[in-house]
Parts: sequence; structure tokens; C-alpha cells
Amino acid sequence: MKASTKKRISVKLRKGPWFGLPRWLVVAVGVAILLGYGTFGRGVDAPAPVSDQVRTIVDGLRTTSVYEAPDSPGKVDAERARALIGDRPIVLVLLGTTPLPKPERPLDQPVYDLCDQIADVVSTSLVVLYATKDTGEYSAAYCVGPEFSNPQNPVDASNYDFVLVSRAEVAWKYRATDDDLFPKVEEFVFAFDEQAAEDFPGGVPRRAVVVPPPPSPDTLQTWQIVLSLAGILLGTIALFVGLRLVGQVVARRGARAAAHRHRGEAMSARLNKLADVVSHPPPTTDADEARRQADLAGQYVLVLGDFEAASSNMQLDGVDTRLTELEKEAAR
Amino acid sequence: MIWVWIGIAVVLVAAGALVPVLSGRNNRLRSNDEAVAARSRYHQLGHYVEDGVESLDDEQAMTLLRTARERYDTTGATLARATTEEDFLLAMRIAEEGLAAVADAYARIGRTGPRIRKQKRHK
Repeated sequence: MKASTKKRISVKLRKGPWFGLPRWLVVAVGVAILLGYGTFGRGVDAPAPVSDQVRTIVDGLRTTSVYEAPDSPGKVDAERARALIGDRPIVLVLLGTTPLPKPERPLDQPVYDLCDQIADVVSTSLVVLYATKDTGEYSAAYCVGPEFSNPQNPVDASNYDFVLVSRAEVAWKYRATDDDLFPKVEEFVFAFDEQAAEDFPGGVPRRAVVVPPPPSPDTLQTWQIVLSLAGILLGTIALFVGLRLVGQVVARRGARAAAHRHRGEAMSARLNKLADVVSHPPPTTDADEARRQADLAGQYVLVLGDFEAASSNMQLDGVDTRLTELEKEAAR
Repeated sequence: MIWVWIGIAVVLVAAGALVPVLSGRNNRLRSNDEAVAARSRYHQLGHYVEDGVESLDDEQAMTLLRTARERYDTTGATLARATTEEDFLLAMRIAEEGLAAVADAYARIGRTGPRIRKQKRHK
């Protein structure tokens, strides 16, 4: 940056206040707000937080394809289902008799919402979820993981959604009863095999390892984050104020040194003038005048010695007083 | 990467805190006017005394020219060490004392000497 530009900016920042505050402070706050917005104001591509219920279910699916809640009504034989599914990319979740919450809006389906949340975690698998609706009915939801069709195994995912369920439904219609829903699972798996045989002639992909979802911050951690942010803010302010105080001390010391040096220069100029007077005394035949001139020269030498030895303002004060007396004497 | 951002933030905070305070420290000359005026006076005085004091019959005029020569040397020494406005104003005052001595000496011997104009000074 050019020196003239720097000077112009400095002069502008030192002018009158804005909003009753010094201009530099307003500019600093503006820059801080911009930086803060740039740092914290952007959207974060973090994964959606995972609920405790989904976390429990997913933990149960890490080593097996079937998760059965402790209070499951037992309408689906979990052991048979586990043996049947094997390592196909299908997971079966059997929740208990506790009904899901009522939908907030008429078209909401909590069972499908929960199914989608599970599918987001086991993203390369199909999810079959049995849960008790708010009406008391124990029924299933089917959904496809968002990564079921992926670059390694590209496939038309829509064939594994409604199409697959419709095909299976035809088969389970006369097999499933209200107390035995296992045939529904069985027919769904068979329908999957049929569709997969068409889509994956080289071999059906196996179920991927379930990666536990990242922990979401709890209340304590949230407060820790808030406190740490406050600490960062206060630390920054403290650093700013501290550095400014140090700068002011350094600047004040520099100003004092400059004033001291200037005073020495001024006295040096006066001494030079006096030196010219005492080293060129007017010729005289008067013994008293000659004595006075000699005394003046002697006093000058002493004051000059004191001036060169002076290092403090107090010493310079003493030299100043004596120099003034000498100047008066020389002017007589 | 985060340390780079932290480093940049610390540098910005430090610059914001120190630059406004220290920028005036090494740049005490708000303008160059005093330095220019002092050097101008110095060179003007040098025009009269640089070649040494000529021999004159008027003893008083000789003394005044000798004083002017001394003021010239002192101005040069002060200018050589001047860094602040006050230093340059001091140098200009000393040079003006020398010019005043030259003007008095020239008036005594009937020559046209320097015209002393008081400059408008800052502060």
C-alpha cells in the first residue's frame, strides 16, 4: 500500500466519531461482524442429528440383519427372518407394542419417517420396519437406502420400492395372518431375489457394514461449545486491549524520548551561540571586564560539561537555569 | 489449516490494536512543510555565509556575520538530527536568527541583505 494511501486511511479513521464511537472502533466491529458471518454464518453440511431410537436400532443392526425390540409382539419370527435374509442388503426392524406418535398433519406417516431415518444410516440397504401405529395396528413400512443404487452397483432404485412390495403382496396375500407376519418378510425377500437376479447378473451385492452414526452434541456439550465461543470472544478482546495498552506504553515512551532529545537539541543550539560569544570577547583594557569575560568562559565550560553529562530531565532543568543566567551575563 | 486461520486472526487483531497506536510514532511529521521551510532557510543563510566571513572595516558588522556563520553551522547540525516537527521548527528558528544577523550586518555596511519573512508555522 502506498504511503499516501496509508496516511489518507489513517487520517480518515482519526476524524470525528460515527454513532458516538471512534471511527476505528466502528470499522473494527464491522470487520469482526463480517469475519464472524463468514466463519459461522455459512450453512454446515453436517449430517442430520440421529435420534436415540434410531441410534439404538442401528446399534442392534451392526452384527445382524434383524433388530427386534424387547417388547416386540412376536408376530414375525426374528430367528427365521435372520436366517432367511442372511447377508442380503436388507434389514428388518421389529419394534415393540409402544405406538408411534400421532401424525401432526393428516398426510404424515410416522412409521415411514422412522423408516427413512433408519435408511439414512444403513444407506446401502433396503429397510423393512414393523411398528405399532398410533391406531394400534402392527404394520410394515418399506424404504430404500439413499445409497442403495451407487457407483459400484448402479440400479434403478424405484424397482425396489413400491414395485417390489406390490409383487410380494400378491404372494403373501393368502399366507400371512394377523398373528404371523413372517410370510410377508419371506415373500419380500423372494421378490428381492427375483428383481436382483435381473439387475445384478454378476452377483447380488452383500449387506454393507453398518457404520455407527456420529454422536450429536448433548446439552452439556452444547454449553461447552457456547462457553468456548464466549472464551474465544473474550480472549480476543483481552488480546486486543492488552496489545493496545502495550502499544500505548511504547508510543508514550517514544514520545517522551523524542521530547527529551528535542530539548537537548534546543539547549545545544543555545550553548553554541554562547560559545561564539565567549570565544570572541570584545577587546578590552579594563582588568575587571577581562576578569568578567574569563569568568564567563570558565562558567561556560562548566555548564557545557554538565550538559554533556545530563541524562535526565531534572539534570537538564539545572543546566537550563545556569545557561539562562550565563546568557544574561553575556548580554550585559 | 485451522492454525493458519487462527494465525491470520491473531495477526489481524494485533494489527488492529497496534497500527493505530504506533503508526504516528515513526511518522511524526504530519506534513513535510516544516522540513522544507527549515532547509530553505538553511540554504538561504548559507548563500551569505558559506564562503566564510569577508574582511570588513566595520567591527560590529564582522561580529554579526561571524554570529550568522555560527548559526549556519548550528542549523546544519540540528537539521542532520531532526526527525520531528519540533526539531525542524527549531532548526528554522536558528536559521532565522542567522539571517537576522546577516540583515543587521548588511544594513550597517549599506548592502541589501536578506528580507526576513516570518513564516506561518504549525502549532
